Amino acid sequence: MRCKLTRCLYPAVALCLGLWLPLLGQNSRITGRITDAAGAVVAAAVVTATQVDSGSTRQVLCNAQGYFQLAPLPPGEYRIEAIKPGFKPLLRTGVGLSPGLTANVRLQMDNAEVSETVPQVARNSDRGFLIAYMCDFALGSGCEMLETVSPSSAPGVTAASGLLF
Amino acid sequence: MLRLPVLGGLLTVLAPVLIAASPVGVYLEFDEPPSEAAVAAMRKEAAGVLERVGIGIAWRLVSQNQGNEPFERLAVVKFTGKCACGGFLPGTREILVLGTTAVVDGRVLPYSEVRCDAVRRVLPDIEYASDRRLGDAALGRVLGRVLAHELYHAVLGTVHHGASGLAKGFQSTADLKSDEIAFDGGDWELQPAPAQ
Repeated sequence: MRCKLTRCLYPAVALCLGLWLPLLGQNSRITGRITDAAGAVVAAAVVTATQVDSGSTRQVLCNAQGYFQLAPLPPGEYRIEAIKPGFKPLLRTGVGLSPGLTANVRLQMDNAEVSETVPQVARNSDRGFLIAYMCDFALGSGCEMLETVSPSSAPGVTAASGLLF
Repeated sequence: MLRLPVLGGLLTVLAPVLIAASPVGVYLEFDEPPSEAAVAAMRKEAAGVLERVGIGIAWRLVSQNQGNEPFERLAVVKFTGKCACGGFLPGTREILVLGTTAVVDGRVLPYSEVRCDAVRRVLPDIEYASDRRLGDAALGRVLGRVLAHELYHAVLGTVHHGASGLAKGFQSTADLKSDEIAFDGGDWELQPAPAQ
């Protein structure tokens, strides 16, 4: 019996250690909430935590109440960024994370004036044209057609500042 | 007897590789309740197309997001209009925008939109399919291709369009319905946009 226990226990312990040792140092977390300048909740913003030393990143989508939690994370110094269309990207640097502890951050995002989109277009025909659109999410004015370009003369591409094909 | 420790050791060694290949979290949000057949076909098509370029997908719903599941990369995709064949939207030969990805100050954000009504309008044979279930599945397949295209922008953080294949900015209905459409070999060799 003893022999059987030994034969089972050692491999099981080895397996657990093999699986969990790499995670032991990653028991810290970053939590927070995102609001706008008026204090209203900003839901569904993407929050990115980047460990400064390693450059490794983790992303989370904050919930309908603006809350988010990034865990488990290895201790270290982080920069936190929140992004969402209609808002200016928000960067918070120098967020220190000690082993086993939680860093709580409050983020306030400001409205952006204009944002554009990269469109994919289609036409019910084998022949067609690329169209340049400029869209404005923030102002809610939809997409405005700027110009048409023959696909044969403009294969591939392209975006220049403000003009997206 | 050595199998378990060996397995544990292997997992430890492979952990960084497994983490590096972690899936992209794709959060879906629907304006209106979609056809289940369309969503299933869309997921299957998008996952298949992206798997061929080495991208795995973890599907999630914005409505069920608790804000506590981290990913290496994630994207949010909103589906506007009705993602199901209705048999009433008029077909068109106009050029329609099928999908968009947000850009702010020249930077691509991981937020995309897929326009179900526009897809239905450029594909009247699917919209008016006699078998609604088959029509929804065909619609879902096309939606999966539009979704894969937008994820190309959102995940790579690029405004670049390819000259052919799914990275092309313009697709004909023949492209969208073809038996096989995929990204070109080098499309995903661009480096993902670094976090700022």
